[in-house]
Amino acid sequence: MTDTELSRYLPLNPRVFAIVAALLKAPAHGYRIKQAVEERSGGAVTLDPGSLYRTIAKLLDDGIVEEVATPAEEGESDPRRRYYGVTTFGRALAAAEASRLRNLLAQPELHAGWVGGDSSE
Amino acid sequence: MSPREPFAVRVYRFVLGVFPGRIRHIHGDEMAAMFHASWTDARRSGAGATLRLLFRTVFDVALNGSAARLGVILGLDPAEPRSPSSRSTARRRGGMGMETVLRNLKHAIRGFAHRPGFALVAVLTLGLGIGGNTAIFSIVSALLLKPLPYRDPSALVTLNHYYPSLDGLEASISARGFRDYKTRTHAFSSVAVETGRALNLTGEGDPERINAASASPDYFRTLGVAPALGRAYGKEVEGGDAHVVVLSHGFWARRFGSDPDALGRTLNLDGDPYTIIGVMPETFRDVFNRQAQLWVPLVLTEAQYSRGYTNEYLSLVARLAPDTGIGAARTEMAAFADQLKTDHPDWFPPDWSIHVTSLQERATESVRPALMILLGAVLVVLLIACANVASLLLTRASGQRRQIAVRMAMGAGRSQVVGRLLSEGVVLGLAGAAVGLVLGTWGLVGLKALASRSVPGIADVSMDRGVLLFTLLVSVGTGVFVGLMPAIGTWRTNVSSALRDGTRAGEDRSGLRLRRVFVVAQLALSLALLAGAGLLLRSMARLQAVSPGFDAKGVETFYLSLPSNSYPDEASQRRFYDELLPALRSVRGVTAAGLESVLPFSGGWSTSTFTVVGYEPGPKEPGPWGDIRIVSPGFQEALGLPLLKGRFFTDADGPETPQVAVVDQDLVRRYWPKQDPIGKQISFGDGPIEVIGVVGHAAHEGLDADPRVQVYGSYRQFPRAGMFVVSRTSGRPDALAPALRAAVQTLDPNLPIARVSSMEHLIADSMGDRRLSLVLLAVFAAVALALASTGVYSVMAQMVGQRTRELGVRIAMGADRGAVISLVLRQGMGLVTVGTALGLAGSLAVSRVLESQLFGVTPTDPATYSLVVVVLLVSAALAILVPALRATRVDPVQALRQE
Repeated sequence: MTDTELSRYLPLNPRVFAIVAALLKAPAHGYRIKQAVEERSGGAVTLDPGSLYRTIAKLLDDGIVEEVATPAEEGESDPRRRYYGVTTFGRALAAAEASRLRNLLAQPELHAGWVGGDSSE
Repeated sequence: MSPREPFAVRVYRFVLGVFPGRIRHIHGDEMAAMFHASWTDARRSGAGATLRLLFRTVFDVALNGSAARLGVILGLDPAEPRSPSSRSTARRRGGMGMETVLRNLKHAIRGFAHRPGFALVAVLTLGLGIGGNTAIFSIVSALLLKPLPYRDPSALVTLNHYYPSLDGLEASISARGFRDYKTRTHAFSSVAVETGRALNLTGEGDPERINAASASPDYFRTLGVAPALGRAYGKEVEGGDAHVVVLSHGFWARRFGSDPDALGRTLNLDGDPYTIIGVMPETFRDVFNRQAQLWVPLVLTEAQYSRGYTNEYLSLVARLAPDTGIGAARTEMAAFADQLKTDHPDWFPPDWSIHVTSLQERATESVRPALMILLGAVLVVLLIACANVASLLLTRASGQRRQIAVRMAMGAGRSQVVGRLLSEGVVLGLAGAAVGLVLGTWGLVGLKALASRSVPGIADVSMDRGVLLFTLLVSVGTGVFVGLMPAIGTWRTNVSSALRDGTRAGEDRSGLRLRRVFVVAQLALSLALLAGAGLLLRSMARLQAVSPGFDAKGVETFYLSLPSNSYPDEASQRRFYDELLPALRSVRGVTAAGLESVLPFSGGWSTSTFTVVGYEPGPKEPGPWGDIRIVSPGFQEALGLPLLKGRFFTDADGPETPQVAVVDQDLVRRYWPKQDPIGKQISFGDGPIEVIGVVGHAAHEGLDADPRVQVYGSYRQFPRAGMFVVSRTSGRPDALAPALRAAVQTLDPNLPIARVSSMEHLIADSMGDRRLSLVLLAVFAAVALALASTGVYSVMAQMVGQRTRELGVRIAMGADRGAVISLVLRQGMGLVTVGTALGLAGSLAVSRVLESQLFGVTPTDPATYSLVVVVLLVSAALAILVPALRATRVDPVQALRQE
């Protein structure tokens, strides 16, 4: 994959980034993703089923996440549950977004009380 | 789907239908499981958390579902999951979050606060549509969708004896049939029967006639409902003490003030003491008689079991055995019926069979067609309202086109702009829901008052959580729809061209084109509703013109039932009525009085097969069958039934004289055409009965019911304990009731009189459900017409506004008033003609759905359609005239200077 291909996806929607980040460590099912994202954001980001699965469907389409077999440590699990993990492409994308955010944060102006406002105004 | 899922989760699964298949099929189960978990948590945390979850969920599903669907429609997303290798259309995408939604909503509200007039019109329009839907859906939900209040109601069925050759009669079940189906079949785990019964309650206070049911010992077990208090009766009543009674919750509250100590006390019913052993839960209603207030044991005797298979008077409810479907039950009962016919060919007509129907279906079949039509109609009203508001928003959006382009040039994504427009729609939808809930509540109160007598169970209808959820979904859906229209326009906005041409707001041609499409659709839909209302109106007029066959004016009726302990035999019953009739006739104002066992339009009926002496039915023809009524001398005069031949009964016809009968003219026409019926004989199996007179046919179930032949006998020869009293007066019949009651109670102070009503009321009630459909459909049609006319008006006003310059030029060139008006009218009527034509074609195509509700008119009645088209054209022309007149006042100088 090329950088151009990656850059077409950037910047990542914060929600997408939160979901991918939650899956980086280990594959998880939907409810666990929701818990992880909500916990990590301190409740600032909430994921209702419609929003979560619409995003997951798109991530699957774009090859950012993929469905994986039920991890062995899960033992007897609800058969209706599907587990999702990040693809290589997804990992590269997450890394690229992280580096974009790092570069952004490196701007000194950002640390002088400029942050805020409504991006869509 | 797991059967233990709570109702809310099942509703959630249903509304997931908003999502396109590619998401629903793959993730539907997971989403439902996730909602289930949140639901369980929220329920544990209390009502506040539950309500918050519901709100969030409605937003989540409506926004993400419609966004996902929109993605598929616009071709941005595949209908099926895409393979990972084809990632060519990569964009920044993600679900729409709650935060963005809230911010957009806040912005939309602020925007509307600046233009309160616009918002008010839009909100009231939507509120009207949503309110109508809320009210009708409350009824649909309570009467059609809600499972019956019994355990595992889907396993409950009812059986009927079916006689295709007797006008498709679906009769009840005989005691003998009941025993056979219970003991000789395998499809049912439990079978019970009941029969409606009215009991005289005496003792404390005024004597009262109570609507009750005699139910077999298995009745409560079959339904799987236990009493809320005390116990139900069971097998022990067979051979033991059957004088026990189970009370309905309502009766217990009314008569005993909900006192738990009522258990163990006795009720004096028909003169016998019954011990109160249980009280049913508040939600429990009898299966076949919703009004039943008491249940007493029905213990069938060997004599009752041994009567004929076609002695049908029991309503049967059965529970399917585990792992048995209704199909298997039908197969078994069909085989069973065939076996019976083979064993006893002379008992049944050759096409006789046993029908197995789901109880839910049976309970809702009488109201379903009308309710579905009304639900459809009110949805159409909502669609028309949506089109009006979408049209308003379109006008507004075209005014904001430049502003939107500026925002997009500044870097706002299309999805942000679209999200904001959608939010405007959703805000309007939600505000409309608030108005709609108020209007819906009023509407429901009105509906209940209007339908209390014609729609069974409507008194129990309320706006529950399901209805609120529905309203919320409808309003958000409505909001997304009306917001979507301008949003689609924005999607296509070419930023640079919108910025470059400094044109005025109104010049957005594509917006106007869409608005014209809306107007055409509104007119077409209105025409369909108008046609429906027109057809029902004509049916009603036709029906009211039908004569019942007797003179209903000035007739007062009520019902008496002689309890068996005070009137144990036929002689005592005859004696009582012998004394009653002169007493009634001496009441001031009464010109005639008589008795009848089954009164027309009273809801009951009594039919029998009989033989006509000397008449041999053909090989495939069913034998004579018809209404059997026991009446008194003077009845024919009291009801105003014409005597066509011979004589009516007199006091001389008594138990010692030969049995005689009076028949109706339909019977004569059918069995003795061109013969003198007087002196002919019929028989019910116990010797011949001589015909002494012929009367006109009296309509029975309703003015629209198929007539049956009728046979009358005298109570002095065939005594009955229960009789309707029919009294004729020259004055107001209702005013007669107290004096009639006094006359009865002079003879027996313990005898309650029941079902007091004038004959005209009974006939009006028999048309109650028709009147309800008619009134509602007429209201919907009127609202639709008003909305569509407003739509026509506002589009034409915009069109005139856009052509001000052109009109100015024309006027400057010397065009006169008439020419300008006709120019605008021509343009407007073009739209109207297209709408009318489409509406006409569409409603003719779907008119068959109304067929079951019509009487005496065809669904494509040309007169009705012509009238409706005229009404629509005139209303539309008036709506166009206003902007047309305004066009004539265009000042050419100013119009030309404007650009």
